[in-house]
Amino acid sequence: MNIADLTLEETRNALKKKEISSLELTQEYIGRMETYKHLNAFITETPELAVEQAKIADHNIANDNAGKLEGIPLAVKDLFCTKNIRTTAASKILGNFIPTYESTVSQKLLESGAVMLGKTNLDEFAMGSANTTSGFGNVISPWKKNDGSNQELVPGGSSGGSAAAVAAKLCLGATGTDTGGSIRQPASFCGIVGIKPTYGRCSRWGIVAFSSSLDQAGVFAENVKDAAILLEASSGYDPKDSTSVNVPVPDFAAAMTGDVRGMKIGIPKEYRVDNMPSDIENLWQQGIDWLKDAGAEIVDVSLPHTKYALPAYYIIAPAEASSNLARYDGVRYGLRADEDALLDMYEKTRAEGFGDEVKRRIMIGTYVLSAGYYDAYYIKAQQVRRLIRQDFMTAFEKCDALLTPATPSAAFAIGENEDDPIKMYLNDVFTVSLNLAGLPGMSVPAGLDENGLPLGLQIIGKAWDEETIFKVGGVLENAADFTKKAYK
Amino acid sequence: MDRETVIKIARLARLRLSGEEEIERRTKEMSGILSFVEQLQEVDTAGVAPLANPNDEVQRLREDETDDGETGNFGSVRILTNAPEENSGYFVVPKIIE
Repeated sequence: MNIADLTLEETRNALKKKEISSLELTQEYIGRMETYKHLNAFITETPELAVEQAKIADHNIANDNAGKLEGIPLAVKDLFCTKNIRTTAASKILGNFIPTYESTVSQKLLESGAVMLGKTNLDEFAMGSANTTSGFGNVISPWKKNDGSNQELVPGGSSGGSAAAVAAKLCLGATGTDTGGSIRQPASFCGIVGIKPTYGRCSRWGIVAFSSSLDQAGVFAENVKDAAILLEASSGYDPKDSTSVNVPVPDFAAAMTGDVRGMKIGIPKEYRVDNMPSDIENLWQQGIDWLKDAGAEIVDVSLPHTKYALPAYYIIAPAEASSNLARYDGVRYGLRADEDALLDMYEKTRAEGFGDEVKRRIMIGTYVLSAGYYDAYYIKAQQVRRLIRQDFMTAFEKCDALLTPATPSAAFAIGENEDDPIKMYLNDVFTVSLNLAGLPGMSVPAGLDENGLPLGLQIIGKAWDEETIFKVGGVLENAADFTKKAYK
Repeated sequence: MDRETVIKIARLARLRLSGEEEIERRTKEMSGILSFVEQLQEVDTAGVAPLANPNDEVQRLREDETDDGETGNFGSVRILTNAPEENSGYFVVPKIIE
């Protein structure tokens, strides 16, 4: 047996029964990180820290004092501040930033006994859908097309490093953040499970802010059960985040009963977009049939404002980003350009420190918030946002969850879709509405396209009802029997 | 979108533009994005309240208390840890007043 073949749950059981030690497990994963270094999944690796934590974990297990993730090697998106470990947001402007505090989500994982392997690569400030905007280089997907070509594919973004690391089994799970699809789209591209919970479920405290009313932390894992275990450990009320909501955290794994009989699954007709590849159309139908076979009832629903989600998003997200990123001024932390006058120093610092996509969004955000345009763009987008949320509320009067494709295509080659920003933005067409409405969604790997690349299906739940998502996700996963791996 | 607006917005955003090539490119891409979001105008939003936050019903305030210790994580020493330049417990910036 190779210990890297075990799932997170199996690993946890093996650790508990002392069949393996966290130290040997951690060393195996550190070795795998070395073998797959060319994927560039990590910005900062922390092997020494991991070994130290693994020894403590073994000690805790020996003394019957094990936390829920005791000794489990995980990776953290480099958007979560980690105490005394460099946190860059994949931006040169934070290239030397070492936080003096730990984000709530990573703190919770550490308190559960997790072993920290390192900080994963991402799109700069989480702005991107291909992990090609990182100031620390592209992430390469561990997947290849089945045509024998050795073309390098994108892992998706923005949480591309976390997704690639889990898909190549460089860790047993990883954190991500999702502002418009940044967990679900890379999960789909990499053939793994990714869930964005309800807005307010995981604390945003200590996560580098992109768009505060849309950002939400979540997790990646190889399978639905492991994702449930990780999400439970990451969730919970936090007084330090004023948008964190004080609701109990359920045992998500326990919700995976396998029984969806009588459950109503909504199929939103507006998600049948023009030019959808037939592979995705067919997979969606397959997913519907799987749930029907399992005893669920399929209901047609309408989300009439769906086509306005992306335009609303590309006003709201840049507006909030331009405001949030005003803090990078070269004064208190991060990069400072050498200039004699203050204003020159600000302008040069930001011009040198930010990459192209980040500048693009700051410019758009500044424009839509500027005098004379605020009502026409920003307020209008927020009104449409309410209509989008209302659409979901109306649909959920008729059903318990929705089933849609996760992405409009499979993974594409590095360099594709770079000629026009809008082309890249369209990647999030099926995911972005959930962020606007604050709803939970999960991408579950469900099949392969004609090139042998993974495709995910998205399950959308009511606010605070991730349990139904996990229940449906477990049934889909069983039916799909997605066993193809991107690693050896 | 014209070049004067791009220059003005870049100034407001404190972003130095590298030259004519960048001004031209940003004008073009901002025009593209703005015409993409323009379709929102066809939505009837009369009487619809703006939604700023998905949980806007449950906004919460904290007590107005000083917190300069471990819990707040912003003790005066640690706040200078990542300063590009500091002196005697202060951030140092380029000279503002002659």
